[in-house]
Amino acid sequence: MKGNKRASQRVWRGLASLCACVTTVALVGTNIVNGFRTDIDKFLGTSSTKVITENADPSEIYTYQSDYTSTTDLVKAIADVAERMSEEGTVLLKNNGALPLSADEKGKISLLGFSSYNPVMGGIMGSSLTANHGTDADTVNFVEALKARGFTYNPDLETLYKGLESSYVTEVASWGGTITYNTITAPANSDGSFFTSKEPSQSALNGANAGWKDTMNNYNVMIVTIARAGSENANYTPGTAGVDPSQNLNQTDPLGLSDDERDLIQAAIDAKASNGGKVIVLLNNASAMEIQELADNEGIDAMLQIGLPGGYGFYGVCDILDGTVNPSGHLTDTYAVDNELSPAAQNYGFLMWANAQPELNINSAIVEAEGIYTGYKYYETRYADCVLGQGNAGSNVGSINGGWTYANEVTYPFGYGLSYTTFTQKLESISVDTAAQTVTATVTVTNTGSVAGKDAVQLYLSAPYTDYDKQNGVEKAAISLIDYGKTGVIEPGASETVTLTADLLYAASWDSNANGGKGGYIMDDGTYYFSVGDSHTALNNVLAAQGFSSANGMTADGDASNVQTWTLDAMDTSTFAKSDNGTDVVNQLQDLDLNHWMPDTVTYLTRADWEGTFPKTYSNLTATDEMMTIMKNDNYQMQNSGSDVVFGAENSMTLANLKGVTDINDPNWDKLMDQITLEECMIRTGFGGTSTKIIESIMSPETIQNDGPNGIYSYPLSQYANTDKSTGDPCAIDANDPNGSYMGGVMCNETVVAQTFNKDLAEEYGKVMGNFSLWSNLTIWWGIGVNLHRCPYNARNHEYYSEDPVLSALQGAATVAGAQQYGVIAAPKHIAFNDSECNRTGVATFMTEQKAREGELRAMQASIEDAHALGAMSAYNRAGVYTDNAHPTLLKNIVRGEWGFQGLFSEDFIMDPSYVTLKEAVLNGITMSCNTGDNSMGAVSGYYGYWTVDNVQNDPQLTAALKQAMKWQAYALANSNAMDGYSSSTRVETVRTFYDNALTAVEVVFALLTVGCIVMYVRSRKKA
Amino acid sequence: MKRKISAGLIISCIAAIAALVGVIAYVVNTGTNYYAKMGVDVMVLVLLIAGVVCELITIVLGIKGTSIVGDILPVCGSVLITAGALMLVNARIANLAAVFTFENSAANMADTTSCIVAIAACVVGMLVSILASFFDITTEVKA
Repeated sequence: MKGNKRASQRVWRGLASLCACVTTVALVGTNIVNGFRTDIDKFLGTSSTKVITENADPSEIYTYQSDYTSTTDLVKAIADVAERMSEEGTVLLKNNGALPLSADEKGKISLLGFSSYNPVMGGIMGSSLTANHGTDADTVNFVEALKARGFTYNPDLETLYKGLESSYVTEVASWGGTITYNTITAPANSDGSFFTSKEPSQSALNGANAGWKDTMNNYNVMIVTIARAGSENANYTPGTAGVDPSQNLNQTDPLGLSDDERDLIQAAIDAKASNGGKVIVLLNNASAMEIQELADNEGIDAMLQIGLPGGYGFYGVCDILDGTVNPSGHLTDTYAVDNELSPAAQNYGFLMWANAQPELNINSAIVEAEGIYTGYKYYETRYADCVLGQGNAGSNVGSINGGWTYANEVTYPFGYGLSYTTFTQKLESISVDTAAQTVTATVTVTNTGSVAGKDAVQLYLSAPYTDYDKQNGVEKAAISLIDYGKTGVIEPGASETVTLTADLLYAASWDSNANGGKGGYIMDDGTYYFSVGDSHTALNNVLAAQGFSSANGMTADGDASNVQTWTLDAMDTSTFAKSDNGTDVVNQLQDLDLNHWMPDTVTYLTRADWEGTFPKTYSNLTATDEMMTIMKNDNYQMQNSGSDVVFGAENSMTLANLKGVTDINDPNWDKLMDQITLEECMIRTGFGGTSTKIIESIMSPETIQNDGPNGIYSYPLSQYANTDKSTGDPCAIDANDPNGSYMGGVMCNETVVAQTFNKDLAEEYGKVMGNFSLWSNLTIWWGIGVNLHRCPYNARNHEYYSEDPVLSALQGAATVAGAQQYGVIAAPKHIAFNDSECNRTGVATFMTEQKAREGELRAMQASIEDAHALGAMSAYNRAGVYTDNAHPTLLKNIVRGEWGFQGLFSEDFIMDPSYVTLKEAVLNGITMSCNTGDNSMGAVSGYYGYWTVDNVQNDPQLTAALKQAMKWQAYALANSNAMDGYSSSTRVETVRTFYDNALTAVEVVFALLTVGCIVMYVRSRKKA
Repeated sequence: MKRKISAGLIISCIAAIAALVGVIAYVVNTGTNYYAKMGVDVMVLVLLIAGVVCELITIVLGIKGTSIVGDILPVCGSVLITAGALMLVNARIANLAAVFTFENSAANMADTTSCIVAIAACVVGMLVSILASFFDITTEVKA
């Protein structure tokens, strides 16, 4: 009997324990949920708040209007722009007349290579394709596009490759299992990672179907797709070190070909001999590949570079294949014979500090010793110096076979691209206006062939390289793109005049010694040569105008008549002494030069001596104590001198009162911001991730953040869409809208966007994303990737436009301008110098200020200064020894100061609270980190130990900076579509979600059960 | 009356050991390169260690016989371990998301091993401690 009673006690005790634990789970879970509420809502599609606006005229509160009246029109418009982007961005590299295909040939396609069936359509992690199905604009891969466009392809080969799928999938290890890709992938982002060729071997193909080659007799248009993936947080290691050592495929570089790929192409060429067909190669890549052997291979009839085409780009590729559209894309990167030999590649990868401290993210350093000579600015300038016979340009260093020659080093130059017709371009005139800071060119483009088509006009400049430059370390590229434009469709025999107006700044060079050592942009005295064509053709024209010819070693005689000149009599140091907003433009980044910290360590490449200054690899460097101290990321000591910054005033304003007020100096801004509390400022700067949260004191709305460069793709259209049509919202949707699941990550990758050389199309892209934003209520778009392709080995190049800063700047600015017409906060990223993913959290990036100014900063400047972007994102890496966010002048003096940036400024996805460098970042103009957490001081102080009210409230600089940061954020939101539906009477109500109710129910029920169990335990104990 | 060791002893020991492993793995994790900067969440340590202590005292008292304290402590132990496990998840969930995506690297994944072990051990400790609450450490047997 006693035993039974004890058993009863055990049961009640156990049940009490169980119920108490469940109650604990619910209670602690509620706390956790509050910390991640926004993310949970995003994941579940729920909403914890409700915005209520009463008695307002919808025509007044919905400021931005869509161009479309339905989501059907919207998604079809997105698809249309994406298709046209690939039509104009696909580059015809070679063609012996095989393209376009005839109507008969469209029925005889043989698709070779597993990437024909599983192409790389977007990036991995970054700019990933969001496949849409069941919508009014479903995405398509290559074979689906072929079918839709009336092509017929070899079914036996499709079956063959399907059967081999297990041999070419890639399994990426992850916790809890593996992620399987049936496309080619990029190597992992770690030292020693390598590329593994997945192309099935000939023996594998023969083993699967011994007669596969015979099947091509009836399908003799053989299209071979060769792919290399793009991926965030991934990296191609240069040379043989970057190739799977277990494979013996004669592959000398991850971006070069493997024998399995060569053999496949050769098999097609061999088959052509018997079936009388043609061989077409598609390059499905973003990083420039090493394809000299394909260019030389006469068995290949045509070759197209298609980039990563996104969800609709293959329609465009098909239209080019059958001649519906005439190709007009041009390369945005130099395709070198051997990428590993470039000066930039000498310092790329995981180059660790000798005194690295990984626990502090002090890991590696990249010394960009190539200076301004990246991409074509290296190849073309060295070529020019070979012709000019200067600077030891023809020496062995950096050459393939000894004795550097352009023909041996470059397969396709920057700006190269063919058409089905031929064009002539005549540079008619040049007009330079130093007061307006413009260069105006008129170019006549004539279609001299037999097919209608578009052409890209590329305007290049060759600025004088003077003795002053040589004495003062100012480098000059022999040729630089300064502007470009695209014609309309020109009929055979017809002409079109294109007028380009370039920014004269692109003719200027940064001189750190100018103006008595203050630094600034200069324009040297001398003759400025302008020409058109691709980078190499334009340079040859300039050289011809300077009196050189093939007799001097030129690859071809140039056309001197197609050159215009402008002469500057005396060096100009004043035109660009102030920025557009009147800020002095002076040295700000001298500390990015490693020699600033470690004198005489780095020799930067100069065209005055290519041989003597060709970069060596700087690895195993030892940072000085001073550098190490800074890299420990605690560089601002908070003050306690007292602050008179006003917080928490009661001025009875809301952000809606300032809706559309573009003058940030309007006194009402300060009046409004006086209402914000210090705690709100501190929480929102510390926890700014995934969305800007509601700030109740000023009624600032929650605004959702979205990646990425291939479109707004973080959430489906319906997740935040307004489904209440009674609000009068013209973009409200039905709850069961068939396009509700549509996601916007469907555009081709940015390299293809740039390859169009079409600013109007880039703007159209911004516009359709702007419309998507209006319907989906997704306002913040981290979508303008303006880092440069410093090296092809950066696997993330697909998210950036080009190796050229001007092309990147103008395409990016055009997209920003298009999107902002619809109230999108379109943000350029990553400011700055995030040109590699290797050790991206911590890598210290060193360079000259000239490289910084004329490289990545030039690529970013136009989006902010000209297009007036209202958002921006900084970078993971260090600028010199400071984290980008803590750099004392990069963000504050240049981006905020010189460029006049007035929008919200987010850090990248940095989790490490010490590397966030929050107090330094806020002082530099950062408005939000990317972390998330509970809307409480306890939470934010818990994450950043120093971020307490006690520590901050008496610091005059920090309190002022915090308030200013929130002002910039509020300014951006007030001038965006985030305020659509808001009026001064708008209020926000908290909504209990189903999970709130569930948690509360569990808490109550199990708390009662716990009590009940305890009572029963006590009773049973008493009975005992 | 003599007392015989019952299954409750083994189960309680497993719960205590699992929670202790969780504590140790968490401490190890806070010393790794990636997670060192996140600091140590004292509340996690306090809750888990308190839970382990409760389990250990339960065992000691249980060997001597049943008592009201010996009946309260396993409940407290399981609640404390549960709270500690959840707080640990809360402290690490954002980092785990980052390591599996934007900050994925071999080094960071290696640092994450101890984090995964800590969470797994705490969850095991939580479940087993609840189970242990249904059992006595010893049972009476007739001499």
